[in-house]
This record gives sequence, C-alpha cells and structure tokens, in this order.
Amino acid sequence: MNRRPIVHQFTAVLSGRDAVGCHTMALDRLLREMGAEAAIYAAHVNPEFKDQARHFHHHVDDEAPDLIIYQASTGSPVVDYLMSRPEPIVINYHNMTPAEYYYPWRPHMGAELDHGRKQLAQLCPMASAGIADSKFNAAELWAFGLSRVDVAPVLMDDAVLPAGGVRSLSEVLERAGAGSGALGHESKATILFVGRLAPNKCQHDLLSALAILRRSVPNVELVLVGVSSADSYEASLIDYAKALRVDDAVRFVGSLPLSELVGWYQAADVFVCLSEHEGFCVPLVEAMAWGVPIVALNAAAVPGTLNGAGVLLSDKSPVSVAVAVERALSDQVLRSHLIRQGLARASELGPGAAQRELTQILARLLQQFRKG
Amino acid sequence: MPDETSSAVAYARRIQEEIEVEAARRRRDDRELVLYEQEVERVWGQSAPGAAGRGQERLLDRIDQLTLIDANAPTGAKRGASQVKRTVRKLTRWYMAFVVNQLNALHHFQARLLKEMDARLTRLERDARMRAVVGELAAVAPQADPGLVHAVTARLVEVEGPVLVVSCGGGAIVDGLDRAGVAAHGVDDSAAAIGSAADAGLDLRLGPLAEHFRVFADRTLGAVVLTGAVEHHPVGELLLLLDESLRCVSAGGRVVVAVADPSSRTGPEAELLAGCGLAPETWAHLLEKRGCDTELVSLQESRVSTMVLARIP
Repeated sequence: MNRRPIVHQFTAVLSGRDAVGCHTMALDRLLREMGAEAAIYAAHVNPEFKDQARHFHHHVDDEAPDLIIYQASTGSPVVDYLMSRPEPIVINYHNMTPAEYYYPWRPHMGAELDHGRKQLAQLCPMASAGIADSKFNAAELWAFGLSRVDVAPVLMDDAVLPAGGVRSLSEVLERAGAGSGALGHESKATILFVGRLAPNKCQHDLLSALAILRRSVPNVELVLVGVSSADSYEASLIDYAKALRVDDAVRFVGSLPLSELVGWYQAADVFVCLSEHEGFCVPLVEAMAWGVPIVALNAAAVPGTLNGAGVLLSDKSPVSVAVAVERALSDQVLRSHLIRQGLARASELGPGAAQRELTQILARLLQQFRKG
Repeated sequence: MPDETSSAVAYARRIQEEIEVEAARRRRDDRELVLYEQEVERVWGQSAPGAAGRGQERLLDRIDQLTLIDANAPTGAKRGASQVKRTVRKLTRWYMAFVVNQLNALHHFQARLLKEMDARLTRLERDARMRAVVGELAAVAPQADPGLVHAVTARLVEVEGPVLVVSCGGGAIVDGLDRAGVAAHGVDDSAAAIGSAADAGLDLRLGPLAEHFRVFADRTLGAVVLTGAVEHHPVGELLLLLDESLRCVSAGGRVVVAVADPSSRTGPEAELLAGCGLAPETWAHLLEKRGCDTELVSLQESRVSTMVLARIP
C-alpha cells in the first residue's frame, strides 16, 4: 500500500494575520487535500494558533518527512536547524525587506533582516527547489544560487475577498457612478493604504502627497490600515501629520478585524501604494478584487503584481502623486479602465488560481522527492 | 476608455505621461506649490530620526538615555512570583552591579564621543556650505577672460588628440578651442556655472571633476586644461586632478594650469578661499616632480597672471 507523503513546513513566526502566516496555513490545508501528512513548525507560534503548529524544537522527535518547505521572510533560528537536516528543502520565498530601511528606526529588526539574508544565502545552495510568489522574488533566489524556482501567487485569506474571489464588474461600476468620478460624490473621497506602518512602505510619502492634494481636493481623507512595525516610525508619522496640518484628514486605524478591513475596501475610492519595497503586496490584490482603482509607485514587485492594472508612478514626489490621485479620483474613464483591469488581474492572482498553480508545483515536487 | 483593440499597457503609459506632464506644468505655473512641496519634504527630514536637524539631535538624546542600564530588573506584581524574583535579584545583585557599572561607563563614553563627532561634522558641513556659495560666485570669472582664452588656445592648437577642459564654467575655453579646430569638451561640477552654455552646441558636461577622468583610458587625451573654479578646491583634490590629468594625456601632450594665484586674491575672496588653490610656482614644482617639462607663461590681459604649461614626456 502506498504510504502518504509527509511534508513539514517551517516558518519563523506563525501569527496567522500576516500574509506569510495565512499562506503557510492555507498551504497546510492544501497539502492535506492532496493526501499528504502535513505539519507546521515555527520558532514562535501565536497562542491563537497553537493547535495548528508546534515549536520547531519538537521536530527532531517526529517522523522524518519526505519534503521540507521553508517559508522564508526573515532571519530565524529555524534555518540553522534546517541546515542540519538531510531531507530535501524547498524554499517558499516571500522576500525580506532590505535591512537599511529598519536600521534608523528599529535597529534590532534591521539586524534580524540582515541575518535572514545571510541565512538565505547559505540555505539556497543546499535547497532542492524554490517557490517564489513573484518574479521579483524569484530573481533574488536565482541570485542566491537557487536555479530551480517556480513562481506561484500567495495563498490569500479569502475572508478578505468578495464572495467568488472578485466583485462583479457591474456592481463596482454601478457604485462608482457614471461620468462624475469619485469626486462627484458629496461625501469625502477616501484614499486607502493597507500594510504595516513600516519605513519601506513609505506611509510618510502618502502624508506628503495628502498635504499637496488637499490644496486642490479639500474633501479628501487618507486611511492607513496596519499595525506598526517600528514604534519610532509610527510616532514620526503622527508628528509629521500634525506638522503638515493634515492630521484631521488622516486615520491611523491599526490592525482591524477582517470584517472592518473589508468595509474599508468597500469604502475606498482609490488605493495608493508608495512602497519602495514589496515582495508581492497582498493588499494590492485585495483592492483589485474589491474594484478599487490603484495608484502605485513603480518599484520592486508592485508592477509585476499589478501587471498593468494600476497607474504606475516613476517618481513619488508629492506633486506627482497628488496629480495621479486627483486624476484617479476624477477621471471616470480611467477609473472604469482601472477597475476592469484590476478585477481581471485579481482573478489571475486570487486563491483559486494560486491553489491550482501550487497544486501542480507541489504534486511535481512530491513525485520527485517522495521516499521509497 | 480605450477601445477593444488598443493595448491596456499603451493606455497606462499614456496616462503616466500625462500625469508627469501635468505635474511639471503645475510646478512651472505655481511657484508657491514648488516651495510648499520643498517645505513638506523638509518637515519630514526634521521628523525622521537619522535625518538632518532636530531628528539627529533627538536620536543622540535617545542614545544618551539608553546608555544607562538599570541593574534592578522589575519583579512584577504577581504575589509569589514577585517574591521569587526579588530573591533572585538580591542574590545576583553583586554580579549584575559589577557588570552593569562597566557597561554604563563604556556607553557613557561612546555617547559623548558620538556627540563630539556630531559637533565636528556640523562644523564641517557649515564650512562646506560656505565653499559652495563661494564656488557659485566665482565660477563665472573665467568666462569673461578673453585674454586667457586666447593664451590657452594658442598653445593647444597644434596638440594631437582631444582636449579636456576641467572646471569649464560657461565654456569660453572650449568655445575658443572649437573655433580653432581643436576637438574639445568641458566638465564642471556646477550646473549654475555651465548655465545655458551647453544649449549653444558646446560639449559641456556636468559631474564631479575627478570622476569624469574615469571614462578615459591611459594616454588618450591630447591635453588637459585645469582652470576656472579648480582654484577653489583644497590641495588634496588638486593633486588628484593633477595625477589623473597626467595619466590620461598622451606622450607629447600638454597639461595647462590656468588659474589665478591665491596670493593675488583680495577682499572677501581672500578670506573665504583661505587654504584653497596653489601658486603657479607650486603647480610647476609638482609637475616637474612628476617628470614634466614646465614653462611659466606671463599673461598681460587676464585675471590669471601666470599660466603653467607642462609637456608630457
């Protein structure tokens, strides 16, 4: 009788709310659906998810797996352990923020990220294959010497997405109204960004643009969803908003329950991302799925994730961003185009598509590396 | 909306271009907007740690606060656990206090050193800013110096190979060489000094002077002219420019140093440029030490009273 393949996933932290945590748990479910015996190990497990993962120190006592999948996103003692293991390792890479973004704000985080990249450089030559959630991430694995890399989207939490993965075009266009653009509404125009308050995500540039935008569009608000990943950065953002006198038009809403996050996607008139470094950027896909037009900086993996479904900016000077946002709010033709393109792109990257692509990749890997 | 056949990518690109054009138009038409944009970015520079100004001071203050390690670890409020923690603290205090005192002393001196270095850096930055102002004021001088242009052109008209004019300013010497049929281009590190001269068809390039030499292989230039605001550079940079010139000029070529003698400076220029530039005799000495045949040429109708002409062996 055929033995079920055993696949163990390792990750630095299993918190469940972030993209890597969601992906890891969704991949665990997918592996089980594929008939594998799957388990998750982490260096730190959020108590909320203690039934779904164990501390990696326990791994040594468990039955040896056929395949190990490492969810790489930061430095972790998990990697030191993995390097001592004889089983084939697949690196599922979600990118690591370059450390220099963090050194001025949260030095120990910078050191952790530096350590993570060094570990990745050591692990890549030992790994059997890689899975990257964007071509941008794949290029980094190739640069570290891992030649066999497949690209497949992140498995997202479908609770944040509309029923069926994307909203219907007619529903979105009906809400957007005809002819007037978002600025034709009596209520405030809402600019949304979702992501940790982090130096590489450059929320300060959103505040700069807001200050300029308010000169021509006074009735506008900026909503920043996401927890702080550096307290000093968050404090500086708050100071900055006050100094620019836009604090009355900015909401720092922090981390939200999924239902409230969905509410902001539904309320948003435009999603603006000025991140300088993103490995994939799940919120872009969520915004597209909800039919929110996107303005974004042309940097890192963002153009790949959007693939034409957003206004890309080559520079993020406040005036340029303000002009782009104003255009995305007022030009109904452009809005319709962005919504249409975004819904189509979200379908390509949504959980259904990601699941299909990962199933194929994993089936091939399991066939190759299954023992006996 | 783009029709069915038009490419979404082409449409997106057109939108991007329109946004860039509109942003440029607003900046051009609204001077106040430009100033406000600069102000917005300056304010962030002040808010962010590690940036110039208040942010830097705040960071140093924070370092100062963090240098003091407290050996008395908190014991918490839970009954029982708190008692155990207090006991552990008491038992280990002799050791913790010994280590912490040493660490505190080390950190204190490091923080003081950082603050002193910050103060020195601030002074250096202030001096550098002053030099930039002086450079802008003085860079235009060689442009209005037909006597110098004539003298340089006359001595390079026979040279074989292209001529590089370092610190070319508005390109008067390059223009003179061009008119004499000598292939020449200039480089200057000040956009203000070049001004709109490049629009007149002269080959004038903007960039750091010493770095510009990197594009030339050894012995590929016919001559190098060191002129203009070169005299505003400190000695270390001048030696670098000199050695790069000698590397790039071919055998039989020329190095011309056409800058004013520092001793001829008067008034504010004398004080503001103190320590910058070299006398013609010193240039000649340096060139001779490097194996060149040199000649000091007196100029009658020029701000540069003596020009140094060196022949590369």
